Amino acid sequence: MKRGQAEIIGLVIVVLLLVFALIFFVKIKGFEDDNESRLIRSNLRANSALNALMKVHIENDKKQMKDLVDDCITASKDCDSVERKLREALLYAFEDNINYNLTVYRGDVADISLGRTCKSSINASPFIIRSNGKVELKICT
Amino acid sequence: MSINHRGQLEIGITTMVLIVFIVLLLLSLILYFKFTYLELEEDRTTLLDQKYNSILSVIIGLPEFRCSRGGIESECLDAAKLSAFSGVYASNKEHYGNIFGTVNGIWVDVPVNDVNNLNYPDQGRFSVYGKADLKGGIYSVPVSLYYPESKKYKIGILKIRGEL
Amino acid sequence: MVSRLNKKGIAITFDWMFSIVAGVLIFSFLIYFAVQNTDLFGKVTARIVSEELDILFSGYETAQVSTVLDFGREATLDFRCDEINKRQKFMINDREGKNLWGKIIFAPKNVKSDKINVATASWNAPFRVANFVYLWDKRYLLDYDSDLELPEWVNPSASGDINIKFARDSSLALSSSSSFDCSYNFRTSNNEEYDKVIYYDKNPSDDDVRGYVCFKGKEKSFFYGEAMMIGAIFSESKIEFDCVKDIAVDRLKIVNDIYTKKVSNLIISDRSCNPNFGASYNNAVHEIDNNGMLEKDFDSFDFGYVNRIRSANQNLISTGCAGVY
Repeated sequence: MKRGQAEIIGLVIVVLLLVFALIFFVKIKGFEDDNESRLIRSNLRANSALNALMKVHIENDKKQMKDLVDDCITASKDCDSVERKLREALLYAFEDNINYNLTVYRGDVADISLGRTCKSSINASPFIIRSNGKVELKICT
Repeated sequence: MSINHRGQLEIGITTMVLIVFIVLLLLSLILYFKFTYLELEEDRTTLLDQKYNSILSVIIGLPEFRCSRGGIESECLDAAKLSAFSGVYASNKEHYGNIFGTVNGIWVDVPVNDVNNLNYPDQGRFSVYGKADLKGGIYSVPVSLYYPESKKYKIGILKIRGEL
Repeated sequence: MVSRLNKKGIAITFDWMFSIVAGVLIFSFLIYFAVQNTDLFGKVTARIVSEELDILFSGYETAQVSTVLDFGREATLDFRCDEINKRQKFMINDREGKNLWGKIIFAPKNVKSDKINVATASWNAPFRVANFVYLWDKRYLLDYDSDLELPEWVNPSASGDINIKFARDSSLALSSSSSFDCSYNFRTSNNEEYDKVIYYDKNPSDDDVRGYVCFKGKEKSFFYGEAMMIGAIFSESKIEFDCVKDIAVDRLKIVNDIYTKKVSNLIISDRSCNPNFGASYNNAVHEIDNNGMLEKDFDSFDFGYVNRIRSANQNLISTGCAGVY
């Protein structure tokens, strides 16, 4: 092989390697920014869902879900019933193919946990229950 | 080696070099476009997500739908207004077509009510824009529905049909 | 000899072909990469910024904000209002633009700065009709009495590019549009003419305002509500202000229509409401469905109309019925 040909081949390979390196670098940098803005925007959906779940009036009950959760946290009253009613409300709120995780905290302790564990998720702002409790909803991505 | 053979050898070598180069180039092009396609898909999902979130935030905030009591608004949709909206939409199609025109349909389903019931307050579906049965995927969001006459909240599913 | 030379020549030709093909391909790759990352004379940036601003304005429609848009370098936003089609449009750096469907923005025709102020205010009549969005870059010298409470972000400067006088005039309650005249002799402390004079009267029930804006050239334009009055501060001319105002009034008619139809739903469905107070519903319907008020010229929109709706609504709520708004 002539020296000239070998040199050109070498040049081409170097240029191609540089181009790919630059592409990967740009992609990795860009990907991080996109992820952040996606999380902020999609949070709206999770917040709307949690708001709807907590405000809903339970059938044959004068109380809202948030009041039932409050009773469960403060007086450990009817927590099994609350868990069942949350599960029913979640069935209405989410279709089968949407994975979520809803957790009711008494202080820092998870009292009720429904749904699946998410590897990555979009989190709603915690819904604060007046008596040292909160409800967190994560929609798995 | 004779000059004839040397020339032939050089042609052969150059041809081989050309073939190797073209193969390398094709492989790199395939790899590049594959990554570009993945990136475009990611961008598309992000933009669609952005678009639907934008429509969602507009709908939740419009005074045509937002619930209030004594002038104080809260984070919910007013079912009585949603029921009344179809009449208003009919006389302002162009206005709402411009606001929602990028999607095929927007409606709110009430899972605890019968979807075929068209009578408020037991109405199972409130139509906002377009039609529910056109083509396209559905982006759905649970929303809080307020019924002012009974002062009760139900869960509604706001559905947007469009490109997915 | 000739065939030996030909083969040698072909070999050289192959070398050249290869070099040229390789060179062209490498060059194309570099050009493609460069094009991907350049701005095509600012068009790409303008397009992206216009899409982002449109989404931002959508968000402002539903929230009360006061902020500054920092573009990093000087940007020019041009706002145009189409009186015939009743729509607004904006352009970025004279390149890309978008129609502002469903949004109501009060701004000078030309806003040019690296930092542009943005704020919103809710327009109520008496129910919320829309959030007005305001954009501005200049400084405004506002001359007003302490009885007028403007939002903090209006931020009157000690000196301004634009001088505006606010004058309270109680006789506005009794006067009609045809009788009001923009003859004024107000002058600034430097004995200059004001760019605008805003005459207003206050609603004793809720401190909201109505009145007339007098632009340069003594052209008058009616306004109702503090949000609309603030819009008059940032509008440069009567034509622009009237155009945006017309879009706002169309929104008022739509929202009004919604409430009229909502009342019809409530009359049928509110079983907890004492039937004796059914008359209250009808009163509310009568007030809201008072087409005379909205079908007439908007200039006749008065405090009495708004107060009657508010009163009917409060009456309903206090008697245990569902409020209209």
